[in-house]
Amino acid sequence: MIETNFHESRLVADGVSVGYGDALIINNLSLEIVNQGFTALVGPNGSGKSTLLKTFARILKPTTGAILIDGEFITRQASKEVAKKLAFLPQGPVVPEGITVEQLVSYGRSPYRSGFGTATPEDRKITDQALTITSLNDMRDRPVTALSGGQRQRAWVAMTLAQDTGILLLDEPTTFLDIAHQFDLMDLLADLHDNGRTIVIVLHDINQACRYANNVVILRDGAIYQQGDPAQVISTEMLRDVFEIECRIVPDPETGTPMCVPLGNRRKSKRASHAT
Amino acid sequence: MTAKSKTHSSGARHQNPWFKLYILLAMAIGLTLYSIGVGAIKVPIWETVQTVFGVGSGEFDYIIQQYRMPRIAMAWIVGTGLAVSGTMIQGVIRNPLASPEIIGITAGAGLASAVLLLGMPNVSVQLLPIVSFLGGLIAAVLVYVLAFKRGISPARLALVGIAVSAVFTSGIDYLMTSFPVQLDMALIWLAGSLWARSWEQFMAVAPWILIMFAGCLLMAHKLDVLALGDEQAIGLGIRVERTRLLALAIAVALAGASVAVCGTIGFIGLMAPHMARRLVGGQHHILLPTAALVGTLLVLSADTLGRILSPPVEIPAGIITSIIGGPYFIYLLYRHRTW
Repeated sequence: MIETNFHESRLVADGVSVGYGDALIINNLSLEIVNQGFTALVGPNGSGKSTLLKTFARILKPTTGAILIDGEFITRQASKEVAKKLAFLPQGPVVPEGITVEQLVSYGRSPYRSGFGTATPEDRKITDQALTITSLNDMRDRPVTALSGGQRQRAWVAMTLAQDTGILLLDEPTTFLDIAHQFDLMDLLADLHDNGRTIVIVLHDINQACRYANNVVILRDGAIYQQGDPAQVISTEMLRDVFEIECRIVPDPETGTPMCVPLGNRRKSKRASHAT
Repeated sequence: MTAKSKTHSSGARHQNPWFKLYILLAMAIGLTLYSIGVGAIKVPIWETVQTVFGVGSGEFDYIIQQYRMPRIAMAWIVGTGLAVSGTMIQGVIRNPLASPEIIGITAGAGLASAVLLLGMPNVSVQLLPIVSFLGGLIAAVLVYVLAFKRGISPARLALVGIAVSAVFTSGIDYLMTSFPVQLDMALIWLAGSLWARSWEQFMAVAPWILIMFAGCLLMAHKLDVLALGDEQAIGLGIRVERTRLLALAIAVALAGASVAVCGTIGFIGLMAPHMARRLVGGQHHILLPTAALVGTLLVLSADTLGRILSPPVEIPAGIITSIIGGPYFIYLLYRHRTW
């Protein structure tokens, strides 16, 4: 692995191994993120999908291998410079007390600040745009703590948008949202993708991943099981192998993308066991 | 804790924080003038103002310029030091119950000073802040090292801090009971008193505290981002461990310098940041000066009360702040009881 390796992708994992303590969660994994793609990382609990995303976001440091961004080691670049290329939304971020939505969103401008520097007109313009895109304009003066779950998640997305990066990394942003807000958020991300952003998202819901992503990466035991277009990678064998579930795959009646429907006998046997 | 505070977050708190800052400043100046005038000898307010600016009758020159002004100047500087220290610590370890007392700095600084006073009773005032700072630093480093496990978890830091504090405090208690006579002076001082503070002592700590305060203001934006959590802060390009370490070092220096000249004026580092946060919100560029003023007001009030309650006997400011601070700490515990 040499730094001069040519990659078409802006964001590349090159033979990374990552672990907490002694346990390796990801073992020698390589992945090129499709430029301007909508990549979903899916897999069962403990498959390493969040770990992989955090490694891309330089939150976790690989024990071997490296993350490259624009052909350079991510660790060799100033963290501030990386923050202008790639934004990361963690799962369940800390909700800070005593700040307004607008203030929160303006924090997305911090990679562009220097020392004592206050917000420039450019900063304010981009913050305003982020608030508009996420439909938070009329709530900009509210405390973040007063927002509902769905609004809060949009505020976080707005903050990452204010970072003005080409790449967005999101760790299960829909997990704590009700179904309407889940689809609101996914539609928003799809719009951002249509406008040329590269999206990498960890998702629990396979059907959601199929519906929105054009590249699905299936992880199992810290390795890539398969990746590609949803229509190619979603199969009954894969679901059995990776998720240990028997499913039928039918076209989503709305979008035509693959949709997994777990077989009925699971539910029936579960009912039976409850009855006893 | 965030869910609980939802009901407290009315919009009013976010209105015009700078106005609140000016109100606090006016209150602090008013209290300062009042405080200079009261005590065993009462000086009328206009005479006080004239004497402060050196154009008075001369009758009160000594008592005001050499006795009351230094202790009140000290109240400003110590209130600022402790409150800003607490604000930095709370900002960095994201724990509303954290303060220089909780993470061991105050006890470490106190023990180091007590040992110094015992070993070298005639030590120069200039040396005391440095030794006190070192004591606080040792305690803080000990806490940091013991709490370090692939980075610092806020909860672990607070827990280890409380334990280390307890050890250092028992050290002070041991010295106090073993050498009661020699430590008599230290006893008054350790209880947190502004009694008999001189311009010399003020000059020994004021530059430190002012420089550190300026440093804190420079870090304000990074502290704001750090409040979003480590992962988010890294994502925004902040070097988290380095920022946290620097902020804690400054917090130690501020608290250490304050303890060195006035002992442990308890709970200022806990109460002032918390009250300031409720007044002006969580953005550090305004939170830090607000906390400094609240801290100053608390120390000034405690000192003034201590002087006027039963003259000529003085109640140390630290005892009064503890009487208020204890229940306040319990109130905080109650509010954040979910964890």
